Amino acid sequence: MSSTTAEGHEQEGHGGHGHHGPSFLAHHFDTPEQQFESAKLGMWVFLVTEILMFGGLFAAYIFFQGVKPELFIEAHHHLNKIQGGTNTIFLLTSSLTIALAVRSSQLGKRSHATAHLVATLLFACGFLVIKYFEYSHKIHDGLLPGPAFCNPQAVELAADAACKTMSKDSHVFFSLYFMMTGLHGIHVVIGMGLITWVLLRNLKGEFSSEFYTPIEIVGLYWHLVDLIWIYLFPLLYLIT
Amino acid sequence: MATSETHDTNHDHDHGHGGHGAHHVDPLWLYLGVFGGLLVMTVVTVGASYLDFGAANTAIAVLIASVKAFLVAFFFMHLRHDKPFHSLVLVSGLLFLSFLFLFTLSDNGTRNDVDDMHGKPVPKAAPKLASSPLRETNAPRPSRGVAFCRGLSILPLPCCKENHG
Repeated sequence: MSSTTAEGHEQEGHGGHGHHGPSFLAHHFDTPEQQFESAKLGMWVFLVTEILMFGGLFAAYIFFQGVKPELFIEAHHHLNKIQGGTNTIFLLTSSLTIALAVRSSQLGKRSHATAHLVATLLFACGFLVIKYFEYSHKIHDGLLPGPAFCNPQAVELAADAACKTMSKDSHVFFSLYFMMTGLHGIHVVIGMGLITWVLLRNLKGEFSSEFYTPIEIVGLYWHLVDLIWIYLFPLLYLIT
Repeated sequence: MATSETHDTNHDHDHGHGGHGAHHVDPLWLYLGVFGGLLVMTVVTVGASYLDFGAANTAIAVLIASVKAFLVAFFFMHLRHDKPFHSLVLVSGLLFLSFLFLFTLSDNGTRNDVDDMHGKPVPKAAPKLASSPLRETNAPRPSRGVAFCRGLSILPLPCCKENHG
């Protein structure tokens, strides 16, 4: 480590112990590069804990799908492939736009980064709007998790509510559906908050080609939200 | 730290950036190309769901999803240019995730093979339900875990029978 530090100081012409660096360099880091790499490593460790958290739900999915595959096939017909597919495209596009926001920041093009971040937010909003229509439709049809499934005490059921013709065990599929897409949806909302935060900081001119760490880190988070959905879409909507 | 030194040196040398703080900037066509690939694979996975490959359908869907996930991680998340240690962090996480999946599947596949009260294998003559890895046995079962089973009435376990009656 000491040799790397010495090398860094030599190349940047710093003689001190990190107190003469640029304003964005925290005092406990020696070089901006070290600060950037530390932030990224910390984020990757966090993303792995996120993957393991979702992994528990995926394990539950694998278990119950193995127990009653026919029940999953019956229940998934009540999910809309068009809405799910549109949401997939929205998230993939938002992943592209935030990657381009990072690229614009690397090149020091601040207004381009702003435009890409706004576009990312718009696609995220689109995702949530479609999710709202999907959830409303499920609730209307009584397709709810656990004891709420087809339960007149939980929701007012129409005479032709879809749940009435389904196996009473279908609540397992909708428990998984709401837990997995719900936890993912919470991540989308948090991600939108984070994107808004870096967007405001970018508008204040706090980032440059030398320092864009927060945009890179929020970008990593948003890509993870996309990654989770890449698996949720086929497993929930495209079962055969 | 030898790895990081080597990497830093190579980084500066290969891309000709001066000093630290300069990061590799990928060309725009690369991002658009990866995005195009992701869109094409989304269409393919939706299309494949309308075809019947039998049990391979899920495997195909997961395979396509994994290729998409790799593209996002490798290009969009910059693992391509990162220190290999970041990829190692991700891969080690996925390794432990695979342990979780494997032990879940082996539980699923071997449940009721052994009579857990007497520690003896359940006779092969016991009828097996082809559609479910969870098989009912003829042996009387203890009432252990009934409370747990009440929450899982989907499971065709004998101790859950009160929920199926």
